[in-house]
Amino acid sequence: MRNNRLYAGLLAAGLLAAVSLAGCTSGTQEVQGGKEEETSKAETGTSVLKGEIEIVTNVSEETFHVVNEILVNFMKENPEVKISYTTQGSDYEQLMKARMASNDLPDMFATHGWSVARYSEYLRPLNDQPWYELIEESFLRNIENGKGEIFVLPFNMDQGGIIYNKILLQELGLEIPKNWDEFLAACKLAKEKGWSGVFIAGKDSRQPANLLDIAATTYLISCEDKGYAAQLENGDFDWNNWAPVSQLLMDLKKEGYLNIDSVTCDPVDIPSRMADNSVLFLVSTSPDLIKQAQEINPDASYGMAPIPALSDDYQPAFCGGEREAYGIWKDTKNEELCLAILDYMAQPENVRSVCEASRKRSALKGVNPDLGTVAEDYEAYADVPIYPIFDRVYLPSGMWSTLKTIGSAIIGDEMTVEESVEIMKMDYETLRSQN
Amino acid sequence: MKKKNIPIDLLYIPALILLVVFVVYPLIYGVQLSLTNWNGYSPTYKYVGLANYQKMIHDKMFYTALKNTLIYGFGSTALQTILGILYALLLQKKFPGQTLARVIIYLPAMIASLIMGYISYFLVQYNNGAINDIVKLLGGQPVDWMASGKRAVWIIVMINVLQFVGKTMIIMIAGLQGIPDSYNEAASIDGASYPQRLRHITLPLLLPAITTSVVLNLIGGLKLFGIILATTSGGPGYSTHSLSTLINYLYFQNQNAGYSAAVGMFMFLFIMVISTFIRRVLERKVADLS
Repeated sequence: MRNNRLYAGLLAAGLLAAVSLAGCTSGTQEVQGGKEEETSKAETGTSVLKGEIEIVTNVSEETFHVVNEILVNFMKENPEVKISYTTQGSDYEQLMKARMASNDLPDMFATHGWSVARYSEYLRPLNDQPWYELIEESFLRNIENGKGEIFVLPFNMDQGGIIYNKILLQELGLEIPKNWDEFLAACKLAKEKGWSGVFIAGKDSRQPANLLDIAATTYLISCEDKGYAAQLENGDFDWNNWAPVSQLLMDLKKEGYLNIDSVTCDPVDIPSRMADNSVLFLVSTSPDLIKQAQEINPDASYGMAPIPALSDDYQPAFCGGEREAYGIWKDTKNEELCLAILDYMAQPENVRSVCEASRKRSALKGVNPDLGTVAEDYEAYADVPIYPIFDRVYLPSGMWSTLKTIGSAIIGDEMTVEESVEIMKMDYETLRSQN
Repeated sequence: MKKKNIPIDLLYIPALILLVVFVVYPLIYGVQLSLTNWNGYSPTYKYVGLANYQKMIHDKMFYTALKNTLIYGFGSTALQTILGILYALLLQKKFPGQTLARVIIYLPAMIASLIMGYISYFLVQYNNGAINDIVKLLGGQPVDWMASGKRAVWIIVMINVLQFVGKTMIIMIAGLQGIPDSYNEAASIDGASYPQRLRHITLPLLLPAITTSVVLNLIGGLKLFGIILATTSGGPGYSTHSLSTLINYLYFQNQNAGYSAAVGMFMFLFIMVISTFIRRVLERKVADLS
């Protein structure tokens, strides 16, 4: 009896402690914004930089090596600095969300297009930095918040469009498609020749999602007279208007225009399949794939063209936004060192090497990178409007995963267009209510 | 008496602390989260009452994950138990290479499920997959095995069975070793055939081992995570999600931590109820036999 009472007492104390712990967690939510910075700033004006910092990114292998080299050079020039630079690949977003939840972020991190919408409350504003003036004016709006603050040093720009096989298109006797009907007609001819009209490596569900995201630019945004952009921003968008975007992917699949293993193909196979010269189009933001394909087969010839327009009444367009960009955690204890690293990274030769590895345009002025064959296309389409990447501006944070789910389900014959519309609508409303 | 008892009772405290920190606290915190619309990282959230639980009732993705979880749980358990018993019966007899055969069958259980999933993917992938290479060698057309959600679910079950059948086999061998030889010898003298001895002596006496194995396999199958993540990540679409991978997806990708916690609560109760029920049924059978 006495023992029972003791056990009951211990259990009750334990439960009380657990409830208190749970209560404490919700209590700390409110202190968050007022957390005092504990940074012990290095003495400004002194020449020796020292400290140990962590930088994380999700960048592709090619660009990772280049940025790593820049940081190694920085450490050579500053022997008392130690930098841990790692890439987390496709797990990056999950990792960053977990670290944001615990308010334990790396000293510096890549923002992959989300420096404002997702990460700005954790980042130090950087308008006071010397390289701020070098940012391309036309690009600046992609990384500014409502108050005109920026939070990252941008190296290059994402630019989404269609990567087309110049040799195959010529063999078919076709021009670069100006609208989606012409695009599908070209895919049909490609199929008849035994080629893949559009290549998707769907083992990574970001691939079909990317197609939907890019296609949405001309289906919903660049056709400005329809007013969809404003409706998406206001929250009164009729989601039935999303159906044509899902239908495009459905048609590509049903008509057999996609590669036969589109559902399970691994993205590491993309360059080798492009090098085989049996792929007509990719809908992508990764022109670096062209370089990788040419390394395997120097005769492979690909270019980058704008996204086909909705119809003849509209013009093709690109979509774009920030790509490789680094910000500084506002609570880092090594702020001076981080700022010095960003300053070093912003040197033109460093930005140039990142742009050349990624085959992406520089976000800073006066860099002039050699972008290989894609440079001709960038020049040829210099006047084509660039709209912000669809999901980053018009969808609430978190819907990228919805695009991944519906894209993957459509090419896997697991979802109808109507179901995809329903899921988009439901997640849009749920996530919008959280933000 | 009093002085002797108190220090002994105090020895419970470390275990109690661990239980509170790693089980009770997460459980209470999980219940709390399931009543919010938290996105998983933001400093703020709102309480939404039972909205997440209501959403679960209408969510097709949840029902697909629930159905798959049952397939992973019961499908794996049934196949593992049958194969485990067969392996145990075969490898209980002494023959050259007996130990090596046991080790080979048990070996996959020693690696992480995630690694097992990645290795298995090389077998079933469309391009350069081992199975398709054999199909091509025999003059057939390669098949994109994981492209269909329904087929992929069963392939995942097979991979799980392949990995953990060795564990079941070990439990069954231990059970078989506990059956006295004299029973079988007596039955043989009475003219009982091997199938008759198997049915009336071996299997009934193996029931305690089967009970342990079934409960362990069922819980393992219902919690299946690593293999799914490595082979399909829940796709195509959401067709191969289990409740575990759905929770992971909702929390870390869909930014729906509140809803994810609600699914987690359901899963906790679901596994608890099913495993308790199965254990009770099997234990009652054991009691009836003894």
